[in-house]
Amino acid sequence: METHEHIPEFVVAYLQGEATEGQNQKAVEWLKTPGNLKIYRQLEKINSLSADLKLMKKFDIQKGKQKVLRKYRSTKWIVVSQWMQRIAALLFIPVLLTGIWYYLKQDELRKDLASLIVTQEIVTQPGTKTHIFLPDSTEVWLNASTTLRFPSAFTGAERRISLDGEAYFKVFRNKKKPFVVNTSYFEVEALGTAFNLSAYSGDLKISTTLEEGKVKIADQTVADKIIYLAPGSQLNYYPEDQTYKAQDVRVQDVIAWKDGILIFNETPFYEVVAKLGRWFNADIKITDQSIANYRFTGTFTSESLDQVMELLTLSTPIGYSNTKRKILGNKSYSKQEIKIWKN
Amino acid sequence: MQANLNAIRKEKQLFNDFQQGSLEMFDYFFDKYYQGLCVYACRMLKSNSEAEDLVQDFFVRLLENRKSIRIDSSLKSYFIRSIHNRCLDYIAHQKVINTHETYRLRMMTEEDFQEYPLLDTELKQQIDQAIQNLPDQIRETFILNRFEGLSYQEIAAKENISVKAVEYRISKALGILRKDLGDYLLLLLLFSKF
Repeated sequence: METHEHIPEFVVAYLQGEATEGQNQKAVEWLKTPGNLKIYRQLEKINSLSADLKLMKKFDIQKGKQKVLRKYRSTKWIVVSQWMQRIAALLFIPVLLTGIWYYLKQDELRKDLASLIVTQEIVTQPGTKTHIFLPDSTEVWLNASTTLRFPSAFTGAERRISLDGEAYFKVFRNKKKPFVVNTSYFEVEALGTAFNLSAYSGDLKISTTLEEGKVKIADQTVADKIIYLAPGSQLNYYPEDQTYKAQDVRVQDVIAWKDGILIFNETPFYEVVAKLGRWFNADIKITDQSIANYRFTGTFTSESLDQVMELLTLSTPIGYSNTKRKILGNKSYSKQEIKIWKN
Repeated sequence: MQANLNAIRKEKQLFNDFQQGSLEMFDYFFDKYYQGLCVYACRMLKSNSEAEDLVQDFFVRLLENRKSIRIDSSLKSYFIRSIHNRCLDYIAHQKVINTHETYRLRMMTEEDFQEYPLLDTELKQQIDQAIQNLPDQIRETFILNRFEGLSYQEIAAKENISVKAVEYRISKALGILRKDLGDYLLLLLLFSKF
């Protein structure tokens, strides 16, 4: 049995591209012999197969597989997260619809509410103070003997309330809905501000004091009477002669009452008496009008009415009498009565 | 041929298992075809790393879509067809202007893929075996030339023999291989375009 046919070297050299000029010619001649071309093609095949085998060994199966699996796992997560996004989007639809429904419903409720709005009234007794929040979150401190009326909801284009007495407002900022306080004489319009308004209907002086922001005061009797107030200033209205007078004040002193401090600074005596009467729930009368325009300066924090009266007599030439409180038929006490005269 | 058909059928069964979720079967297919497909892609793209990326990408897609894949041909030709098409896509994207080569690659038919030799593990083993069976010196010279890529001159210097001797040994090796692989070579030459 023939082991194998010998392949001439020049054919192999020709095949490998290493042939010399002479070998080339020999190879071309050799290829012309019948059958040799077939052998040559087979050799070519062996060549390319062995080259493939060589190339093959360069590709690392394990490294390749690791890369593939890593990529597969990461894309799998991308696919999963894409699905999650879709599911989340689908779940969001009912949430959105519910949200819209509630919004519309709320609008309806708001309309219903409008028909149910009632006016609320807060009254502080003489000698007491109170602190409340209005429906729009505006903060209000009410001084003694004060009445504040406001709706249970602010539905219109403005927030309108009315005041008889003294109050300090920290108005909740809402530029679209002006905050308006009605008094017996004029109205005060504020946007987001803090201001004090002392408007007791029987008082000789109505004071608007601005702490910060801006307020507009519009007189109801004079249509074109509009006054703007700057922070730190006080506008006083005197109902008797219907005049306005502005002055700069220490705002802290004016609003100190909300912290339980009474501050008088060159304050006319009639005003002092009115304030003390409300503060201590007493009926204080000046018997001699010549002392009504005395000025008084002083600060009271925790003094009793008796102590305050003593202090007043020290600094002003006055005397006073004090009637004891009596038990009335309905088991309440009568107001303390104090009479002041010139000494 | 009957044995071949059985092998194809068996492989399809294995692929079925893989589609049902068996990752061990993925190992089987990857180990068997990865290198061969890389070589195939490398022949088309003329770049090792690009070929590797492309084949890896193919296997990632295979994993992702394994449940929905339907294969009518043999797995081998399915794999080669996929890699072939991916390579064509890649070449088109690279705008490689080698019209004749691209045209030839495009014209390849199902049969061409069917008979790409190196994916046939049996043949691979046969060639490996035939090379192993060469006489020691001849094998060594043949390997230096074919696998290490050394020229006749370099081998001569390295082995301390004449260039003539190198020529002789290579001729001898090819002669023996041709004889040993005879049947396969005939078959391959009937189809192969490479």
